[in-house]
Amino acid sequence: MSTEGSKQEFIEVYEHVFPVIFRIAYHITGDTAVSEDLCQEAFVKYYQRMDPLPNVDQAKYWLIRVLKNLAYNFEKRRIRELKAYTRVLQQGEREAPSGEQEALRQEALSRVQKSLQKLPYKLRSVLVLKEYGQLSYKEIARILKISEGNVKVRVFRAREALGNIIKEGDYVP
Amino acid sequence: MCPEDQTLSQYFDGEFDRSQKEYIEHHIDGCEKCAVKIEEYTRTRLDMLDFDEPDIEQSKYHVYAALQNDPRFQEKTVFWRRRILVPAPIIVLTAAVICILFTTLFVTIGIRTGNTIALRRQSPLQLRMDEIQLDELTRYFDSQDFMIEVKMDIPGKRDFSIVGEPQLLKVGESKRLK
Amino acid sequence: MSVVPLIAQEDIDEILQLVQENAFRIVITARVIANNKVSVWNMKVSRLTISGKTVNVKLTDENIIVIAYITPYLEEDHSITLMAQGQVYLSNSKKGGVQYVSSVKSLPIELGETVLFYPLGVADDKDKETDHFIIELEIQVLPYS
Repeated sequence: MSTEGSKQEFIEVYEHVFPVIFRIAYHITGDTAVSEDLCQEAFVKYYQRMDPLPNVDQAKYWLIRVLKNLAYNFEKRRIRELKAYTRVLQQGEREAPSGEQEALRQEALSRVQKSLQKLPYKLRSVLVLKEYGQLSYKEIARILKISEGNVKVRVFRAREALGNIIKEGDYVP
Repeated sequence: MCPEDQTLSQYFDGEFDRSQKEYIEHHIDGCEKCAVKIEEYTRTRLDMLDFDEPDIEQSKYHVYAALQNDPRFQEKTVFWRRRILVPAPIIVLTAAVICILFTTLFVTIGIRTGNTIALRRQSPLQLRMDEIQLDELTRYFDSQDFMIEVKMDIPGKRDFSIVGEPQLLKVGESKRLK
Repeated sequence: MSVVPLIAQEDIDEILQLVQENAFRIVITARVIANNKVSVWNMKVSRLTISGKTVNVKLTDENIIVIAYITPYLEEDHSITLMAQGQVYLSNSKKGGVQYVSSVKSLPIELGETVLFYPLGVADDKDKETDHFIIELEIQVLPYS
């Protein structure tokens, strides 16, 4: 493949897939800058693939899978850091610095995004893939490596829970 | 008898085939409870599709610019995977030739040093974005308004529908009658 | 990382001017076409942009939102690839819910050439559907100067 052809193909994939994975990243993490970084990482990994994927849709699924893993790792790291700061600073009456940052961040998010952030990660990610990734249950199952039945249940629970949070204000498992 | 809420959720996501879909639609048409459920799901979906999300196009541009500057984006080892064994004297000779060539070019083109960069006026179209401070350019173009929002003010009733596969055509290839 | 020495202010102006000389002007005429024949609404805009920077048009009506992302890419051989991405959100008044369609199309073009983008598709002339409306975006990429 010539470099011209591969550049053209990369641009086509980038144009087609960026909005999808950015939306997914944003609605999982709630942070624009973090989402941009995650998307950059995902596209670098895609660029570095030695064997190109046969079409844009395959590239989309691959990138979503990569993005989901990057977002999941980011979430784990963020929770770990919050817990670590809390332990070190013995949060009691005093707010840990990352706790304050987290509160400020939450304030800036839209109402719906705040509600989404209240969902457990497992439910949030599957609903985000459905509504922002525009993926079928089968595609989501493939990406998350779970059964279609499992996807169906999680989407249903996530949708019900999100609807309740938007109405009542809190997640009730 | 009403289908389970989980089944309604699946229907709402378009996961059923035509006959199953028609069966459920027929039920919803006559069932207030299920119609309300679908309305709730629609409201949740519309809330999620709220357009107050960040400027995706801005982010797309930022990330593309960042990729241009990312050294990992420039390394493409595909064409150099094969290891080629070359005798050492040839490597030394090639290196020497490259040095001489580079020095000659350097002297000929005369790149200015100091606080400025040389602009390759001979071929301005080849001006590479990574030679310009991107945040300066970004600020300049961000000051331009790139999202044009228009409310279509069409008289009378209008019924938009998706009539086929979206198309991008040259004039002349378009089937639309004038 | 790019190795960019500090740039003096005069050079920034010069660079910006150089980029403007090599920038594009995108002219977009959006139309609503009734029954494949008659234009019932139109509007025209133009924006200055550069290779890789998108111009977006968002058209809204009672039951539809269409967002078109138009991006010209200047290739190394000075040809232009035009990318057009369409996102359509259409609410279904009869059944409820929102239909969503997304598409990405690309075409090699010349400067000044006119292309047409149909985010809702183009109906076949044989279609007997009464009173349907589609959206047409006429796009031209012109040199800035």
